[in-house]
Amino acid sequence: MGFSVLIRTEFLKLRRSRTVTVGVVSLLAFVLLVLWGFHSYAAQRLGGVSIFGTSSGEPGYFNGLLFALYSLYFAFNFIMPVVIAVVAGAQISGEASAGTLRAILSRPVDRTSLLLSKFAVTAMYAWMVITGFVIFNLVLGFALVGWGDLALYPGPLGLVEEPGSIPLRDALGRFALATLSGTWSLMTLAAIAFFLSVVTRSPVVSVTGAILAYMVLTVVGRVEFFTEIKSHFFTTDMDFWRIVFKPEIPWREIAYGASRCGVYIFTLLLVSAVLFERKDITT
Amino acid sequence: MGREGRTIKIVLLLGIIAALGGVRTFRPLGAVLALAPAIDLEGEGRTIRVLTWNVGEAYGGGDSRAKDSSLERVAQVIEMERPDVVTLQELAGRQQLGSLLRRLGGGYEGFLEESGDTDRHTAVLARGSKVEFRALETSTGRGASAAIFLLARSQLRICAVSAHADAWDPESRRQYARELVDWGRRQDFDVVFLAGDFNFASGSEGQADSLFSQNQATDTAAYAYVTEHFRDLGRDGGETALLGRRIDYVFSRGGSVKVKRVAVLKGQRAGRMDHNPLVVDVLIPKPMILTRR
Repeated sequence: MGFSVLIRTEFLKLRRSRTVTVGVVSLLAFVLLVLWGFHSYAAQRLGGVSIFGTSSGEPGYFNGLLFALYSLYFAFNFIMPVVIAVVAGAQISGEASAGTLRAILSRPVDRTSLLLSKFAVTAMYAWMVITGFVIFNLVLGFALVGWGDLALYPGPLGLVEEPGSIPLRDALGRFALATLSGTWSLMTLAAIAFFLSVVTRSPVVSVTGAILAYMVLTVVGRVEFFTEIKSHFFTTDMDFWRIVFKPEIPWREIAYGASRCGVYIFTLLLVSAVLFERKDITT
Repeated sequence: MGREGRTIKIVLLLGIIAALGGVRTFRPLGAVLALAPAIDLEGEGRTIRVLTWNVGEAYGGGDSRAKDSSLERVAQVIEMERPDVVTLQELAGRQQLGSLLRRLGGGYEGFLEESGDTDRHTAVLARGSKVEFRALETSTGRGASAAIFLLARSQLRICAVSAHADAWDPESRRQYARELVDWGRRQDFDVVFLAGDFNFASGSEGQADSLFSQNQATDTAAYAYVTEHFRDLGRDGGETALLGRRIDYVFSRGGSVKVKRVAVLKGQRAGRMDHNPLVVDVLIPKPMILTRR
C-alpha cells in the first residue's frame, strides 16, 4: 500500500473520529468565552463603553486583531495542546487497543510508512485546526469588535518591551505565518504523544502522559524559581511560534526555535519508527 | 523493513542532523527563552532599568571630556541594555547629546544641563510617558540633570537625576551630594533615583584609596548622609572605574523597591574611558503600583 493511499485512509479515519468533533467544539466554545471576557475587560477599561460594533474609545488598541491574538495565545497555551495530543496520542495505541492495528498490519503494509502517514495526517489536522481557529477569531473579531492596527503593549504576551504596533495588512500576514510556526510547535508535543502511543497499548496512558508532561513543564517553566532550568524544557522551545508577532520578525530566533523543535520531532519519530518495527502486534 | 520504510528513516535521520545544524547555527537565543512571562512568587511588579555611565576619559591625556568617537559605543551599550533611564556624565555639550539621541533612533528623549560653571555636563535620557526635564543647580557650581516621567501603564511618577560630583574637592562633593539629596527629599515623586559619578573615596568595603582625595572622612560623611535618606542600589556591583574604585552609584528613595540585578558592564569602554557602565534593575512591587493615587 503506497504512502499516499495510507495518508488518504488515515485522513478519512480522522474525519470520522469523535475526538475531532469534540476538539473543534471545545475550541469554538473557548472563543466565545474569550470574546465574553474580552468584552467585559474592555468595557471596564473604557469606563463601561461597549466596544462591540464600534471603533470608539481606543480603536487602536481594542480591536478584532488584538482579540484574535489573545484568543490564539490563550488557546495555544492550554486548549490546543490538549486537542492535538488527544489525536496524536491515540493514533497507534488507540488502534492497538481496539484491535484494528492488527487487522491493518496483517496486510502488506510498511510499518514505518503507516506510522509516518499517521503523523503526517496529525500535522495536517493541527494546521487545519489552527488555521480554522485563526480565521474564526478574525472574522468574529472584525465583525464584533472592529478593525485597526495590531497594537502591542508590554504584558502577558511578552512580545515587546515598549508599546508598538503592526499595520493591519502586515498583521494578517503574521497570523498566516503563525499558523505555520504554531503547527510546527505543536508537532513537538504530537511527536511526544506519538512516541508514548507506540510504547504503550493504552491511549489513555499515552494521551495523559503527553498532556501531563506539557502542563507540568509549562507551569513550572513560568515560576521564577525555575528560570535557570527552563531552557531545557521542550515547552520553552515550543514558545517560539508567537515571536512572529514581534514588530520586527526575528527570523534568526524563529529558525533557532524551529530547529530545537525539529530535533525533538525527528528524533522521537525515528525512535518511534524503530520501536514500532520491532513491536509484536500481529501475534 | 521495506525500501520505503528505510527511505523514511534516512529522511528522519537527515532531519535530525539538519535540526541540530539549525540549533548550532542560530544560537544563542535569549529572546525566545525570555518570552514566557515568569510568575514572580513575591508578587509581580514593574521593573525599571537604570544605567549610569561617566563617559569621559581618564585624566592625563589632554581633554578628558567624552569624545565624539565614543558615542557610537555608548549608543551600542544603551541599545543592548535597553534601560528605561540613562544618566551620563562628562559630556562636552548638547551637540554630543543630540548626536547620541540620533544614534538611538528616537527611542529616547534626552536633556543636558549647562547651568553649572564646568566644561563637562551631566545628561539624562528616558523612555517613558509624559517625560519632562529639569536642570538642577547647586551652590558648588555644578549642576545636575533630572528626568521626570510616568512609569508605563501606571500613575507612578519617577524622577531620575544624573549627578557628577567634583573629583578633586571632597568638601565640594559633600555639599553637592547633600543638596541633591535634600532636593530629592523635598519632592513628591513616588521614586527618586540619584545616579552618577559621586567620586566618593569610601562607601563600600575594600574601597581602594582614592587618587583624587586624601580626605576620606569627608567622603564617608557624605556617603553616610546620602544613604541615610537613599538606598545604595549598586552596592553589590563592585568596582565601576579603573584602579578598583567604586565611584559610580545608583541611589533610590521612595517605596519598597527591590533590586533584581546589579551589573557593572566590563569591556564596554571605548578609547581612554576610565568608567564602566553600571546597570541596576529595580522592581517596583505591584501593591505600590496599584495603591498609589
